[in-house]
Amino acid sequence: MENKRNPMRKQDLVWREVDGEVVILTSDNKLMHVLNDVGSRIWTLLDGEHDLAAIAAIISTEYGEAEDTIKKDLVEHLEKLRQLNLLEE
Amino acid sequence: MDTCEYKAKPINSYEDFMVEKYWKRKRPSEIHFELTQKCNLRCAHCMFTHESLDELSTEEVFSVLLELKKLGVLNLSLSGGEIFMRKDIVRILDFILEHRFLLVIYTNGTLLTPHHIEKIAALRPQNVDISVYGATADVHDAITLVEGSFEKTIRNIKALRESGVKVVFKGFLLRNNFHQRREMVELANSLNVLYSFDYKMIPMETGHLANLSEGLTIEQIKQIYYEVDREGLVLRNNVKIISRDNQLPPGGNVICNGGIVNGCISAGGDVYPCPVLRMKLGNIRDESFEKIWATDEIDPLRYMRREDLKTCIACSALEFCNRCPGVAYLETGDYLGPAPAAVCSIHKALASEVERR
Repeated sequence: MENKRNPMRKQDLVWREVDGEVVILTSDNKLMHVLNDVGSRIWTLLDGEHDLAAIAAIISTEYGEAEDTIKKDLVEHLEKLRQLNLLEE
Repeated sequence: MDTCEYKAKPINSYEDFMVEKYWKRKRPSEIHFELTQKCNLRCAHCMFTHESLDELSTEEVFSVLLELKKLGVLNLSLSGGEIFMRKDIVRILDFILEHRFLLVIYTNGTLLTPHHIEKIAALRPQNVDISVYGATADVHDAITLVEGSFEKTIRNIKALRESGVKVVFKGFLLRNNFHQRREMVELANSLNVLYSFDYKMIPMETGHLANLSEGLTIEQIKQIYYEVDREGLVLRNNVKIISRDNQLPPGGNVICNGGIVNGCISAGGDVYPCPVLRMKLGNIRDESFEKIWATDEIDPLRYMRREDLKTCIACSALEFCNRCPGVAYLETGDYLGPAPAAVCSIHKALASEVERR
């Protein structure tokens, strides 16, 4: 079930996952953002169905890092994505 | 945990990503999709015969679009024929809205309904390119051979603009509208749209050259050559492609993106390196686009260097040339060779004119 409070990528963006890296065109199509592998994995989880804890748990399992460390990085990362206007408000 | 840093770059300087992810892996980033060959206009200069063929069904179009998305294709151009001849065009536009591409729509604008315009506006395409062949109805309609086409085209350009859609006024200069070139610029400005002008004639897809006689005369081309800088006429194909240092690592001189990151799918599902180079690589009804695109058949095109163009690099008109492998292929069957009728005659005349002056 979609939860609006969960972080969610903007629905009108053109983005593709190419060999494990996500490339995103901004809404005005004037900028391209390229995410690294972890950033790309997080991006695929920003579907509105995963909350921050769930994303951190998945990344923790897949990358072998402590969830607390990941949560801290994740908050910063999501803030950057918000500043770039890539997330739904 | 690896930090989640990312790079933000202007869209025009993302070559390294494109080279790594697309160019080196022979993966297209941009597809020109001809949804139909049918057209309601009958322009004599058109490269298509508009013969009816077994067009891809709605479901086949959807299936291809999904595959293109999965392959990483970002840019999609919808073209024809005239795409609004398709009865399922709204379903296709809705599907594209759901799956998101950086979209360009090519149309003559005559068949757009308010419903179409609403759908286009929702898609927020990069632009809608609308072909215009004159500044007045008599000149435009004499080229399209359909009375009333000018009025409909201009009306729908206005309607698209009112809906916030970015429109490009695609002026095509032919010998019968050449005298209106300045008025066409004024018309585009009055409509508050971007404009571009082209004069490059493409032989018919059958290889016949009959349509070339509609193009500008050599005298007219000489005239606009000197007008380009002076009067700001933007000619899309006045770029001297072959003489540029158009380098992309690691392949050396890349002369054309056709077959590398650009590709074309015809209304019947044939796959081509580009919309002009009608060299059939396969058909998506027979095998996947990915498998077709993996062919090494066009590697000489993909890795073409200046020195491969043996005739052209020795040509005295090289500096003026807007050589196109597709035009050469249509005219002679050899995309590495010259295109004597469509390209060489014009640019040799230009070269001698400039030398004379």
